[in-house]
Amino acid sequence: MTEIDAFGREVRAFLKRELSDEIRDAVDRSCSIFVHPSIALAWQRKLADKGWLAPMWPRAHGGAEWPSEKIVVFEIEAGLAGAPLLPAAGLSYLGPALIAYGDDAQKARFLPRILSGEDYWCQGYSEPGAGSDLAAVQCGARLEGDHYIVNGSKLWTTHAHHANRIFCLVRTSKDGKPQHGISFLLVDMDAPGVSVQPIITVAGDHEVNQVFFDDVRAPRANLVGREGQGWEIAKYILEFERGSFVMSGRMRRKLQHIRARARASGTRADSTRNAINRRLTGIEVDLCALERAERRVMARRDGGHAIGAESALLKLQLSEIMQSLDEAGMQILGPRALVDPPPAYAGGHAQSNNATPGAEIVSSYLADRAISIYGGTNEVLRGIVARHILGL
Amino acid sequence: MAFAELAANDEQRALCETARRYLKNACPPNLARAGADPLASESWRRLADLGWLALPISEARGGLGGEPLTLALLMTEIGRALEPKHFLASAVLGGVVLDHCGDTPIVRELIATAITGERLLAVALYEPGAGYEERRIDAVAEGVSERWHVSGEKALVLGAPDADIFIIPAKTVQGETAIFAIEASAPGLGLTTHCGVDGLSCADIALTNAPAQLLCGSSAYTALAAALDAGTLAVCWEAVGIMRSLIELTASHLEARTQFGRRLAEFQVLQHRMSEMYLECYRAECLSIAALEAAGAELPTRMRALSSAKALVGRAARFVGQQAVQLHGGMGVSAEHIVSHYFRRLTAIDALFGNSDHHLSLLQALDESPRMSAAPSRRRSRARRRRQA
Repeated sequence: MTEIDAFGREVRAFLKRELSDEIRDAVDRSCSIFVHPSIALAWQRKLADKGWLAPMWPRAHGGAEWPSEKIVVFEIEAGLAGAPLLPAAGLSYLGPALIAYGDDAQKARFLPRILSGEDYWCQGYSEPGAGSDLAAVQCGARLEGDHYIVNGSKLWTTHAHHANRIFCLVRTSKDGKPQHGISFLLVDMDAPGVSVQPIITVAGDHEVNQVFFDDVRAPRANLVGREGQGWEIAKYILEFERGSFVMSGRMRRKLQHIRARARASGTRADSTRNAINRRLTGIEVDLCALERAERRVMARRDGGHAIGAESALLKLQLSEIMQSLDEAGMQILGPRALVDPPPAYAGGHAQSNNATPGAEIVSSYLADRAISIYGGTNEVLRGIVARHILGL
Repeated sequence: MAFAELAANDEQRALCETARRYLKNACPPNLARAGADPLASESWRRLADLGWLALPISEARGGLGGEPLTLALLMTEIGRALEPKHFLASAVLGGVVLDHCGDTPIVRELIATAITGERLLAVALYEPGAGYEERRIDAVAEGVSERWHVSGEKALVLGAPDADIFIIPAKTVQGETAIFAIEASAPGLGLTTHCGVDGLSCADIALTNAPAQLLCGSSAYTALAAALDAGTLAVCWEAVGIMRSLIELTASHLEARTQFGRRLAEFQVLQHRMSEMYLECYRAECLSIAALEAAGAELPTRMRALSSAKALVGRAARFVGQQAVQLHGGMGVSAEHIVSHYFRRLTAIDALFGNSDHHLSLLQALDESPRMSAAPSRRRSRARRRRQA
């Protein structure tokens, strides 16, 4: 047995032992890829105990420092088994950014608290006037002595209502190109002047928020990198955001669930069943391509290549497959797709066991429209492919 | 194709670079639809010197035993050049069938002359009305001692009009499938030639008591399946080569051409179309890599990988071909432009060895077999039973 096969076996044994029904059911019922922090942090602790947390971080900072091959194997097995995605804002976005751009004090202060789950971060990028076009951020920070004074607001902030800290793109200068006046600032959510207003999404879910800053004071020591370096750091993180998710295992689990539901709808005409099965087979082919693409892109990361535009290829594929699966699920539900899912299914923290069968499919269908929007809309990503890969 | 991603060794890189240089000089794309194939006769033997004709045949049988990756890389160059046209039919399909036949004097002789380029082979995979079902064989072979005669019909045999030897599956009177060799000049053999949509010629074959030599008895299906698999993988990689060329050509066209006072490359709708073409090609590459790696795997794994690849390559080939024509505008639909020839070849590649619908059907059949039901579904149905109770 090769080393990687042995690792795969170890991962499966670990998942079988440690992944409780409670966690798995919460993941399966969640219409969002991010589950409630209580579920995600419970899983995070188990991985931390095993020494399997933060696979992309260097060992010196408490990460597992795995080669891509191991990351891919782990993520595919974990996704297939129904393990939750870990809180990404700290582990996948801010962590790598602090390791690359933070000073020693910031690393020493924040990295251990991300790993332990003491800090739960959210990402303050988008604003009312800046969606995909992040260079347009207006939320301002002006230096007064040893503090930045922050005024403005952030929109679509995932889990801001759970988070105790937020990392923000703020405008520290209005001179020159818009990108050059952006800085990367860490703010405490319990600082005076921070307020969070829920945004209920189309799925009936409270996952995202608007965060308001009203003369909020953030210590100067919370500036990551230099003033004006925020754009560069944000781009660095966006590559992680789009490229660090190995999602094919999770997609395959979803496909299996939808296949099972298709089989369970026993009263259909043969022609309908055949059409549904053909549709799912077609999606599975695309899923196989995504699995290979993830390995291809991750292997390039090992080779020291900047992933950059290739992460856009992964996100385009992921969003198309996810939305196709949801659509197939809705077709399979037939008339039951009429029923609005109960709120218990939104927000990833289901309490109720007596919802209409298939409620999770309707919830996913509604919620997953966001996948082709967040982290750069698919239109923005196609522009990136055209510009950076095709040179147009 | 980036070598790094395919872990090609130095030898394979060298072969690939030689192929590109050679094909560029020796075979400028032949744009006349029914024109002569520059590599049809004498120059075919030069491919033997390059070692290409020996690649699909194992070392034990006198070939080079090329790894699937080597052949894949060569096919991308052949796709790019649209030449040599007989390579797939004779060297890949013919070579692989012979490689799986028993080690008899006639098989040895045919392998030797195929490797030196003296003789072109054509393999009859399908019969009229059988679609893509290579196992539907009605042709019959009657043998008295070592003298065999074959009667029946074969459809759309690739490379047949130029072939010297036909490789023909037929049923014996005992109902067993066997593979035979029949000389092009044999009595009782009639050809109806077709010009392919890709400009390649093929032919229907009618056989009436044509004298034949037995190549392979008990392992006939294995040999045919191996040829079919090798051919399928080869055209996947050929398509990758063509799609890459089309994307490069189309990108250059958008950069060069100005309309409404702007370069075409500046129009977002065209940029996005190009991104979609690139992504389809990228997916096709991904599954062609997966099929390559599964080439030595057990049957269900290999079949699933190959059918997934061909289903996606077929779809990608159609999309990239059509959009390259669309983005070239009037030039794209002109027979004088290379884009229309690439488009024709991609159209043919979807139709070869099972189009995308056919391979989706094969995959669907695999998915619908009960052993595929996975753990989560069992869990779900338990939950459902509980609810109903």
